[in-house]
Amino acid sequence: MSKSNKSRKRRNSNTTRKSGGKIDIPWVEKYRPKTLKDIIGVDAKKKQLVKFLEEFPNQRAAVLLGPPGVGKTTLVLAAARDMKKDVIEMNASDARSAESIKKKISESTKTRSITDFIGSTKGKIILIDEVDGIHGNQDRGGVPTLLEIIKDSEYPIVMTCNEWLSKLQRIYKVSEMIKFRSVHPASIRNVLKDVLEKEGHEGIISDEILEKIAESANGDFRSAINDLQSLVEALLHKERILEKDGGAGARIDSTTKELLEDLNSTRDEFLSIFDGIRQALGSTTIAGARRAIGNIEMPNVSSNFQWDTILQYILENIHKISRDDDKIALAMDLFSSADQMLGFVKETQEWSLLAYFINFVAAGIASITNGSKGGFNSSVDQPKFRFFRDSSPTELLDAISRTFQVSHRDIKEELFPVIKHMLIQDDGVFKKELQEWLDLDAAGKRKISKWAMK
Amino acid sequence: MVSFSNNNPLERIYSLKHEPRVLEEIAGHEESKERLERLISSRSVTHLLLAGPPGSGKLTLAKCFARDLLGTEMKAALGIVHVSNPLTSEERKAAKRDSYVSKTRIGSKAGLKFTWPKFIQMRVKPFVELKAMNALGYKILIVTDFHLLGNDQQGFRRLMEMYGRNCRFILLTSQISSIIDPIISRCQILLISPVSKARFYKEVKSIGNKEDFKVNYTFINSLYHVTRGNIGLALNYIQMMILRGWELTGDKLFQLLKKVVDTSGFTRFLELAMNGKYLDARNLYFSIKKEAGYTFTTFLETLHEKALHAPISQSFKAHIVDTIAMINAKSLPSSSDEPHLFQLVYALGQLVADGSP
Repeated sequence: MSKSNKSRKRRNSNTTRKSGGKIDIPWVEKYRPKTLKDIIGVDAKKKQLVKFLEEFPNQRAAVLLGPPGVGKTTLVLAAARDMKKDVIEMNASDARSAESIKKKISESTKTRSITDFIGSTKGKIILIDEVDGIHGNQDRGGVPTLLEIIKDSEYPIVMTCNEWLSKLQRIYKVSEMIKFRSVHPASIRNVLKDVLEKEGHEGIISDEILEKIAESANGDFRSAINDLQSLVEALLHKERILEKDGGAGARIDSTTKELLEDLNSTRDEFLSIFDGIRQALGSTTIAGARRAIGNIEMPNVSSNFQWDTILQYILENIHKISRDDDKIALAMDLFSSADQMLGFVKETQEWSLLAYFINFVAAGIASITNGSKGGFNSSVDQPKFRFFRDSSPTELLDAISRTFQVSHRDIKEELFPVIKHMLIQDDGVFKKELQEWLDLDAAGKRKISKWAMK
Repeated sequence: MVSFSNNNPLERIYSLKHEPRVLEEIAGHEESKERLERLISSRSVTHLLLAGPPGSGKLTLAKCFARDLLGTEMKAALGIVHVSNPLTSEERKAAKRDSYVSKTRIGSKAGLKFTWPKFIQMRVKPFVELKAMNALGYKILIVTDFHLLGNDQQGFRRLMEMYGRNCRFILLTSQISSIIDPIISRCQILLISPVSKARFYKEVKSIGNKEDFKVNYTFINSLYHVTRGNIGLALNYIQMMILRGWELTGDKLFQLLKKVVDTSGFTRFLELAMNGKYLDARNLYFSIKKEAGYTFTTFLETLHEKALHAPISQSFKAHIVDTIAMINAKSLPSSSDEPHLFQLVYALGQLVADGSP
């Protein structure tokens, strides 16, 4: 979870770019509520935080617990602004030792913030973002240090955290817990609408699509607003191109869906192998299948074999989506090419070529599903490891292999036919000798005779 | 190594009885023998890579070389590992157990997992780790079908570096294209080709003198064609024919092959694939593979031989051979077979759909 969070943050910074001479601030920052009054819908949490800050020495720390993008940091910043306090932001990795924290605080006191000169701030809040990342029980940094810091701090400490983690239990115990739930899509939609209005783009995106963005955001304000911004920018860009070409603006609507689908790619959480395969086999476009495959995460499979495993899953389940042999034959050709490419990647360790593997696989799926309704309704089967009973007598095989140092394959291919012949055609002396040599019991003897007659 | 107990009944099998014990006894392979003998006389042996088609005599050469080099100390100092022999489930479990260091242990490796490939962990490492106690100061490990190691070759390379002083490796392969460069650069390479027909004739004839059977040239011609110069296999065929009480002629030889070699699985595989029973064909492949120990490549080779003898039109045969050849080439860089197998069965099905045989 924290990983996806980080990639989102990177995305934020990417969206900050110059266009037309002025710097675009990411909408997420631009429309971040500035005061507590602007924040809607979380009154109980607001009160709880304000109370904690006001009664500071009573309770020394607070933990805001909740999924990413629900406004934890925003709430702290707004509260600080309302109460005229400075916020010292820290990462969990900064909080290695009490010294480093003290240093950071004293630094910030020396280089005073502008508001200090106005003389209106009263005190500070230490904000430690994403304590999830902290080490559990190591001697440097980690929970014990953080506990010490909390005990000695002159200022209230506010931490944010995405999940309830047992390694942080001791911190939770000494802190005021403020729990957030993911935001309802309806509130997200309202906010999106508001933002669109303020940007002056109302009407460019239909309510239906706003709803979709809100839903696919999984209760995450930040990602929803980012999506909205990228979509609007992409649409405007497309519009400009279309205008240049003299095309009609009416074409925008048809492309919206496609763009939205593409945007969703970055929004999806990592998928389990089953969900990923289901999504991949259910998509009708190369882009869709590729996205699903790319999002699959298999923590228990070594990265070297991740892609083989995905291909195996697909081969196991591909027969469920179509009965059209022509299409499947083409797909199999593509899967075979994909595997060839993967072998090449592994041989040369040229992992940049992996993209071709993924595209081959996605193209294989799309070549079957394209034109159909899409969607995968059956259950996803695990690839079967096929066990076939080997009828050759293992005692004989092992004994020969041990004595003559030949591989099982060579024995089966080259020696077994002769031995069978000798068992059948000979006068029985060989059979007896062989049984003695192998030291067989009655059941073993029967087994060998049966095998020879086959 | 091969210690015949006096009453070993398998000694009656010609191919085992007349298996060469020393380099001198090996028929043909003059150039390779000379190189190996030079290595023995210098006593400094490098890692060796013997590449050549199946049945060309790589293992025999390697065994005889080791025997000549190690002499009486052979029993303790020579190991032979067959990559094609699958790990048993117990070995797999043991490998998993061994690869984990308990958390309660003290040290920087506590709680860590070691990822030696299972095969190397179970079959190779125990042998090479043990210190060589012989006069030479190093052991010899022969690894057959080395290309089947696939991705584990990198692990093997690491092993060669770590234990190279203690053990010299002789790697045998019939598919040199699948061997990774770092391995190739660490080995002296010997290319082994099958013995010539004249040499084959001479050898089989001389064994015939000992075992009291006579072969004529036309029979040897067929035999050489069928076995691709594999003398051991040729002796097996001869023995089977003798046991059946047959004359040694080309016709009878092919009659025998139909009985012995064709387990009818291949023809059935072709039928299933061409009739659109793809999943059945796949299952049949896995059972053939398990039963006879085929690799995907050797399976395809045999299948294409079978297709040539199937009762179908000439142009259709050409198409089948084309398909098989293309898929064989495509499957070479990869270690997995299923994607290519699926392509094969569907391509065969498509051939039928496009034009009837």
